[in-house]
Amino acid sequence: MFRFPRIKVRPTAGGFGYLALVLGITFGAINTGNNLIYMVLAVLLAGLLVSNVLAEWNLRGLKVERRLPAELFAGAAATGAYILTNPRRRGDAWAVEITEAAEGTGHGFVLHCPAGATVEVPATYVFADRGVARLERLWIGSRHPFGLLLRAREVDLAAEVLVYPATRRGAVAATPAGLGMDARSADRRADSGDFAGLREYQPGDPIRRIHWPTSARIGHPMVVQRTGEAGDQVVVRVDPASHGEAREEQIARATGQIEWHFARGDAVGLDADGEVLRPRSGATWRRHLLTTLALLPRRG
Amino acid sequence: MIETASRPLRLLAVVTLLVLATGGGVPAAAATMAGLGLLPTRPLVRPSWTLFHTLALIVAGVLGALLGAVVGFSVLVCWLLFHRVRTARSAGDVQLALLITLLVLLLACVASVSAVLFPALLATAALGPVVLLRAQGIAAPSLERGVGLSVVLVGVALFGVLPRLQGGMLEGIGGEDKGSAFPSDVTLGDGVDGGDDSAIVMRVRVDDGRGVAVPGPFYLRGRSLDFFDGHRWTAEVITARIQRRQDWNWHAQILLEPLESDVLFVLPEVVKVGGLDDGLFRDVSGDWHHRSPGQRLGYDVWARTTRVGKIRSVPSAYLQLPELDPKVRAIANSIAPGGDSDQIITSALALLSDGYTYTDNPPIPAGDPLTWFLTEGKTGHCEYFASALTVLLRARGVPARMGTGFYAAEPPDAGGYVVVRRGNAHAWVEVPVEGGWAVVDASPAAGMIPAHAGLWERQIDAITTIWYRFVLDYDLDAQIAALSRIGSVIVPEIPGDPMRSKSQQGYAGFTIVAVVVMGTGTFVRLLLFALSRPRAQATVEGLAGLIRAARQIARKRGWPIPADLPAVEAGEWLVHEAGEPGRPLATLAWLHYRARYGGEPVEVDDARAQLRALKALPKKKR
Repeated sequence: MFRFPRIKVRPTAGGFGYLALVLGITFGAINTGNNLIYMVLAVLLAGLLVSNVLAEWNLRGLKVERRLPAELFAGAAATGAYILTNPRRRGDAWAVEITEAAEGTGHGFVLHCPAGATVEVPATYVFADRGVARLERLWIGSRHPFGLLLRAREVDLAAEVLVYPATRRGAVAATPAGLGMDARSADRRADSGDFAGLREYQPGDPIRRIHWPTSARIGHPMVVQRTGEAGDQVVVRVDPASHGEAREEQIARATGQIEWHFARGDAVGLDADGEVLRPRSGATWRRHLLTTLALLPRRG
Repeated sequence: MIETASRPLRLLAVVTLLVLATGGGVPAAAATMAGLGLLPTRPLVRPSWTLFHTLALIVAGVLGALLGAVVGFSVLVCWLLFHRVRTARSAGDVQLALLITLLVLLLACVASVSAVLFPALLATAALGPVVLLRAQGIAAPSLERGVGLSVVLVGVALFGVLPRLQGGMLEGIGGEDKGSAFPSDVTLGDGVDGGDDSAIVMRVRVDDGRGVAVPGPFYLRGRSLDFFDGHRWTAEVITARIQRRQDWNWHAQILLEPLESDVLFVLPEVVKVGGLDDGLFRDVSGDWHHRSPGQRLGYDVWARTTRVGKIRSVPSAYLQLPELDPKVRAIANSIAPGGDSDQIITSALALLSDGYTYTDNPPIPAGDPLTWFLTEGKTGHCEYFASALTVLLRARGVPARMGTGFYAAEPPDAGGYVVVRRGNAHAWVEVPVEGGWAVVDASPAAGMIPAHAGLWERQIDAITTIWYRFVLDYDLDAQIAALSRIGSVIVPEIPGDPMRSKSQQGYAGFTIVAVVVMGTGTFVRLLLFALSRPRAQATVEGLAGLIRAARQIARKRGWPIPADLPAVEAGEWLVHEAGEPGRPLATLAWLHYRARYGGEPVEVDDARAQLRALKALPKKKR
C-alpha cells in the first residue's frame, strides 16, 4: 500500500538559537514599529524559507541501498556502507546523513553527492543483541544548507541481518575433544613439540609462553608457537541449564573462545544445549558455529 | 572547513560593527574597538580570555548602570562578537558568531536610522548564508552565489509583504534623533541659535497634480504670527475666517524629519492635508498641527497658489501694532502716500531693498530692535525684514501677518525632492487676498541663498530620501496605499466615492499580491521538481531511430552512407569520409551498441547531443 514518506524537521542547537532570535525580533518589530527591525526580520525569515526549500530539494529523489558488513558481533561496531545515488539531472546533494530507523544501529555521512552520481558512504553499524536483526526503514536526512534544521525523509528498505553474539574472554569453557584432557593439559601439550615460530600474543595465552627478548625488541608481546600447538581439537560448551543474563554471558564467552581457538588454528566443536558439533576447522565451520550460537534460544 | 568560513564571517562582523559605530556614543566606541580587533593581524600576546571576559562583564555592567541597559548590552555584545569570531573553531562557533552579528545589527538598527544600515543589511543577507554554508564544509561558489542572491531577493519581498502590526509595548526604544524644536514665536534682538544649519528638516516634492514637477522655490509655512509687542511676535487666538475653497493647483509630498514641535509645514495656501491618520487639526489662524511630535512624518498637501491682489477683509487684529517710535511711523507715512494697498506694498518692498542689508548675525540692539533696524542698523536677518514690512504695512492700514517656516530653494535631488535644511528657516509677510494669504517677502535674495549642496551631497540626499520613503516610512498606511495602487490596475476608481474606491482597490491589490506570492511559490516548486527529475534513459529502439535520423542528415549533406553498413561501421565510414565533423554518428552508434549488447544505461540527453552536433556536418563539395 502506498503511503507518504514521513518527513522529520528538527532544529539543531544553532537552529534553536536562530528561531529564538526570530521570535525575539518579531516581538521587537511589532512592538517598536521600527521598520529596520522589520528588515532584519525579513532577512532572517528569508534565510529560513530558502533553507527549507533547499533542504527539501537536497533530499529529493535520493536513493539509498545498504551494504552490510560481512560479520556483525553484538555490541561491536562494524564498518559497512550505504550506496547513495543522486539521480537528479541538476542539483548536487550535500551533507547527507543516513541513519537506520532503529536507533543506534547504523549511521553514515557524505558531504557531497554530485547530480547523476552514485557514492559509497562508509557506515558504522552497531547491534546490541545477537540473533536475526530486522532493519525496516532508514532516515535519509541533511542539515544542508545552513546547519540550522535537520530535515530527514523516511525510506522503506527492509533487510535482515544475522548478528553473532558479543565476544568476551573469560573462564575457559572449552575442553579438548576426545583426549580426556582438561584445558590445563591442553596448554601443557601446546608447550611441547618443536619450535614453529613466533606470533603475536592473544588474550588467553599463558604468560610463560611470551618470548621476552623478542617482545622487548619489538615493543609488544610475542609468544612462542610450537608444533604441538597446532591441530588442537576443542569443544566449546554452553551450559544448557543457564538462564537470563548468565546464559547470554556464557554464550558471549563461548563466542570469544571460538574466535580465539580459530585464530590459533584449532579445530573447534560446540556443545550447546545438548547438541554436540564435532570439532572441525575452516572459515565455513567457524561461521556455522557462530550462527548456531547467534540463534540459540533465549531463556529467562 | 572553519578556515573557509572565517573570512566572510570576519568581513560581516566588521561591517556590522562599523554600522553600529555610526550610531555614536559608547556603543560606537566599543564597536570600533571590536572592529579594529577583528582586522587580520597576528595577536601580539596570547590573551587570557577568562580575564578579559570578566573585565568585559564588569565594564558592561558599570556602563549599563550609568548610561542605560542598551549601552551596557551593546558593549557586551561587541565583546562577545570579537571573542567568538577570533576563537571560532567549529561549525557551532560560527553559527553562534553569526547570531551575535545579527544582534549587533539589531542594536545598530535601534541606535540609528541612517541609510548606511542598508549595505550592512545587504551584506548580512548575502554573506550570512555563505558563512553558514562554509561552516558546514560546503564550498561551492555557484551554490553560495545562488543562495546569497535568493536570501536577498526573498528578504526584500518579505519586507514588502510582512504586515506592519502595531503592538506598541516597546515604543520609545530606538535612538532616532528627536530633532530640534521649531519656535512658536519670534523675538527680535535674540541671538542666533547655533545649531547645525546643514541638518535636514524635511524633503518636499511638488507637482501640479498631474505628476509634472513644479520648480521651486517654495514657502513652507509652519506658524502665522499676528501679535507684535515691539519685541516679540506671537499667535493670539483670533477669529479668522478660514477659506473653504477646495480648488488646488499644487500637490506636495512632504517627508518631515523628527521635530520637537507639533507644527505641520504646508504650502500656502493649503486646501487639504492627507496621509496622516489621526490627530491632525487646524487652529483658527489656519495653521496645521499634528499630535506626533518627535516622529518622522510623511504627508501630502494640496494647495492653491495665491498672488498679491485686492486685499480682502480680515479681523482688525491683523492691523494690531505696538506703540511705535515716531521715527518708524514717519517712515511708514512716507511710503506711497495716498496710494492703494498694492502701491503701499510695492513701495515698502522698495524701501527695504534700498540700503538694507542681510546678515545672519546682526548686532544685538540695546533698545527697540525694530526702530534700530529701520533707522540705524539697516542690517538684519529675515525676522527683521519681515517684522519691519508687517509693521509698515499695518501702520498704513494694510492687514498683514508674519509667516514662519522654511524657504525651500535648493535644486531638487536625483529623486526629485527638494531638501530643506535647518539653515533654510525663514520668516516672511503674508497679506490677505481673495482665496487665502499671499506671501510678500522683503528679505534680500542674497540672504536666502540656500546652503551649498554639491553633486555628491545631492546624490547622498537622493539615496537618503529613497531610504526614508521606501524603508523607514513604509508603514501600514504605506502598505495599504501600495495595495490600493496595485488594485487600481483592475479596479477603476468610483467617481465621487474615493473611500469606497480605495477600499475596493485595496482588496483587489491584496488578492493580486496573494496570487503572485502563491504563484511564485508554486512556480519555484515546479521548477525544482523539473530540475530534480532523473535523467531519462534512452531505449534501444529510440537510439536506433536517432541513428536513422543521423544517416539522413549525412545524406542531405551529400555523404550517402552505404545502406548495408551497420551502425558502427557507418560511423567509421563517415569519419573516414568527412573527418571529425562526422564523429558524432560514430559516438551515437557506440552508444546504441553499448545499450543493445551491454545493457548499459544511455541518457537521452547525451544521445540527442550527438545528433545536434552532427548538424554541424559540412556539405560535401562536388
